Amino acid sequence: MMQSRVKPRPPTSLRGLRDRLRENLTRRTILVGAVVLIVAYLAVVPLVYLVVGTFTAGDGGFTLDGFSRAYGGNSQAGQMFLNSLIFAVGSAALALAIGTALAYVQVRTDAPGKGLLFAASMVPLIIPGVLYAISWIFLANPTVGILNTAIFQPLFGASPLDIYGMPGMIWVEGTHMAPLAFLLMVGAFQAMDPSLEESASMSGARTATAFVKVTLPLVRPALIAAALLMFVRALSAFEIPTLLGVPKGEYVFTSRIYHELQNVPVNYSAAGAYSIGLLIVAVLGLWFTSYLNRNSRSYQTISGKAFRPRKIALGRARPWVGGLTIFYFVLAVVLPVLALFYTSLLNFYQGLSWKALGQLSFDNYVRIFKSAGTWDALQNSMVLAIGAATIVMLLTAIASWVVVRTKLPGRRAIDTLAFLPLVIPGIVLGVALLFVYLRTTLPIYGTLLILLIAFCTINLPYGMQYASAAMRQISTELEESATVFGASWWTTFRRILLPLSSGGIVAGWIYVAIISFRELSAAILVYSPGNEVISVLIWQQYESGSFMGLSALGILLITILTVVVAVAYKLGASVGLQKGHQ
Amino acid sequence: MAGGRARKGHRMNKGMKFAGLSLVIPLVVTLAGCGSPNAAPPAATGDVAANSSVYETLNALPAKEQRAKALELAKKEGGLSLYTESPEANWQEYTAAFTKDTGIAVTTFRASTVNLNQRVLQELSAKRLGADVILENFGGMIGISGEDAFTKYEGAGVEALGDKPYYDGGWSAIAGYTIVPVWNTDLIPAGQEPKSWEDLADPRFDGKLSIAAEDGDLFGVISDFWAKNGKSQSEIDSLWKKIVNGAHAATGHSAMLQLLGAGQTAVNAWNYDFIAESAIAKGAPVSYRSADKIAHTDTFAYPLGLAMFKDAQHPASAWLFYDWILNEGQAVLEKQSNLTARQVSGQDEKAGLTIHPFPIEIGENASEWNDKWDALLRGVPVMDQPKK
Repeated sequence: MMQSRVKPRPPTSLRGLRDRLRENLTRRTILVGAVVLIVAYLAVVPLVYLVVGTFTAGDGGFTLDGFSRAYGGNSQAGQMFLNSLIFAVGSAALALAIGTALAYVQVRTDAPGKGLLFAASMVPLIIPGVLYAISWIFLANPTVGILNTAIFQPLFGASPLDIYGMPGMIWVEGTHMAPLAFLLMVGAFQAMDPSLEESASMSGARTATAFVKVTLPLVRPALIAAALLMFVRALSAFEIPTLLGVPKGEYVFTSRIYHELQNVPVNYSAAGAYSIGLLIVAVLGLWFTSYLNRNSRSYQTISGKAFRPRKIALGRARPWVGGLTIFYFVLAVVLPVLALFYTSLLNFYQGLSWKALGQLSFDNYVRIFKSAGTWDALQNSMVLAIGAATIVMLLTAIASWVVVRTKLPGRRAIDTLAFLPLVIPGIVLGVALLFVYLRTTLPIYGTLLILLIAFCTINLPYGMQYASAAMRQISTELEESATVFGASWWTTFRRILLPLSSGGIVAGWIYVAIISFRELSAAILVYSPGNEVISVLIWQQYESGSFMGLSALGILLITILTVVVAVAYKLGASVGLQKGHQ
Repeated sequence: MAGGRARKGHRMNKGMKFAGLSLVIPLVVTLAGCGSPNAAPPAATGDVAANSSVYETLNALPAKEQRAKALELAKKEGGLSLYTESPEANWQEYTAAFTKDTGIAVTTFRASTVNLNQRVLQELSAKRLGADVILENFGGMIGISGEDAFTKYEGAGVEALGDKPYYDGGWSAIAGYTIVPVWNTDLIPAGQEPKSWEDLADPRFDGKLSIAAEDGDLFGVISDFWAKNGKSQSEIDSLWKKIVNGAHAATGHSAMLQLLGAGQTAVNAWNYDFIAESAIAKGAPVSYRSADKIAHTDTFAYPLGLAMFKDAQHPASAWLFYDWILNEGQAVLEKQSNLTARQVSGQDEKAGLTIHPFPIEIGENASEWNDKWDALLRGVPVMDQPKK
């Protein structure tokens, strides 16, 4: 696709050189070049800082001490690696299963309660990880967890639920990540031509057989993208393993990184050594998925042929599916949100009891609403979330075109670079940004722009996966037809590729906007007084030990983001998130 | 069919125009928002020579004239920039009181010790310091006191700091707090509470303890206390083994205390007294004092430090804040259940508590103690780790 339309000829003179330059400096080359440079710049800054910090000793010399600390001696690196793998594979598998099932039911069936299902699919994403883990501690800690004391103890005389340890970690991380899979798979199911399934049915295949043998293979690029993204995200998640794993002595790599980063002075060398280990696993995963996607042309389901998504009639299974939807909604959304709401009404945290119910009040909300800082922070968060989501999806739509559609040398490097911020600890990213922007005269440090840069960097991997998965499903024949009819690259990109991948891009926009709204780890280091964002207020409530204020802010955040998602979802309908490509 | 396609194309164009607008408008809004008046101007380093002159002038004045001169100079500077790790409610209270007393507005950056230090170290290395003063705990102060960034306060308030008013680097302990075992009064009957650190190893607390996973320095402080009181290393190791066995390791002192109040565990092996006091004030069923109102376990004064920066943009305001916090500010800090400067320096006692000085050498070797604590919690042998 990138071959020049005019045969290249050797330059014979200065004029020839100028002509050659003019031919090459098309609008496409400039735009694509600029995007590639920006993406590379955003990703390289923290990466360089991480690598330099890992191999630099206190006296400025070269060192490998971080690696011997991280992987040698009493580090139990083997056990931690195993724990990390079990945690990442388990939670990614759970999230993938839940997200794919929810997306399939949402897009391809006539299941009842689609609004409820959409909420069930999205709300866990809205709740910050630390808050989601805490809500599950309230619900299922073995001694005073609400589910144990209010349901299991009275009914069965036992407290079987224990959220601490590996199964609890996998459950909480898996349900928290499920929306990521849901959003990726919704786009994929919408973009799928159902005539292939119909052919399978006409040939005698049962619905389940058609699903396994036709539907799933057709959405394979999105499935692979989702699996990779969630596997690496779970590997790099620190809140849930720290809050739920450490009490049971179950350490993963991120809990060790967290430990090294809590030391004064911070041990960058060891934290970097752990991060580089994660980085290698992530790159291997990325290469493996690229290998799995090598025949991507086979999965191009959006071609020049028009199709109309067909809803599968669930028949007698319809009420069961509806019931399961409600069950999941209660489990993943209602219970954690109710636990947070209950806590937000307390003066000090206590288990569920008549005495506690008699002491409920809205004091925490009054305090939050009265604080001018809350509204400023909300405004800042809103601006940053919308800005970061828009910039990231614009950049990654073009960057993913380069990766998926061209044979340009170095395209793999762009894909890899854009993926790496996922495994760079937030504090390392924050320090890297401080290092760079404290030394520039541009008005970035001390303004919201440094937060915008941080959020764009953090979200590059998500943007790339959403955009690439969408791009892979569009048949190259559409671009080729446009070129044959004389359309410029920009026209083709704007009028064919963007509209057809809009389902995935809008889904990615929603995801990035939400993550930016609740992003914490880098924000805490680079914000300035007057530029607080809502996640900083949440973290400050957590560090001040106010579970009640924290929960009240969380409920406020959930309410606002639910409205944002609902609006984005409605707006997304006009470009394909709901209706698909008809 | 063709008409249908045309309509579809038209719909798609409309959709794309809409999508285009919905992309461009947010971008414009964002870029406009990022440069909004909310955005603080980038920090610029203060003039060290001029600052030095301000500090010297104020320190050299007779005690009675210092405050008035500081106030006069501070009013020309336009405000104070404070970096702190104090809980939100606390810093809001003492900065509001300072502003009320002096008329000087305070801009506060609040973060955890680790994040605060990272920010200060980066700003110092780029010579774009944003803080005039920093108020954080001993562990945090140790992390930046070697940067030669502080200047000593030598005003009249220094009297509250006792015989040794300055720590290495030139900062002072303007307040402090203690570590104490805290228990849930619904779950631990009166008389059964821990009354010494050794008590935590008693079988009656098996499976009932929660311990802070990040407190290597406090593990060091208690170990040091036992050693100084004649226990052998093997006795100390044995006690810790019993304490840690079956304990619930947790992160975050405030979170630990919240869950203690709710009854998740019966005892926090240790927590800060001011966190316990705050929970008690809200009605949580927790205590660190026995029925006789005495905390029987020996405790230690963990310093809360304040430092003025040589490169401060508002040196007179920094000096004024320091002076204020050692005078009027002491009552505000005490109300927040902190030890006063006089209590930390051993000049005054606190009712019902036996407070020992904090062993500085333990805090200065916190990384080493963190490694030992971490190894103990993970049940692995302690290793000699390479120097960081």
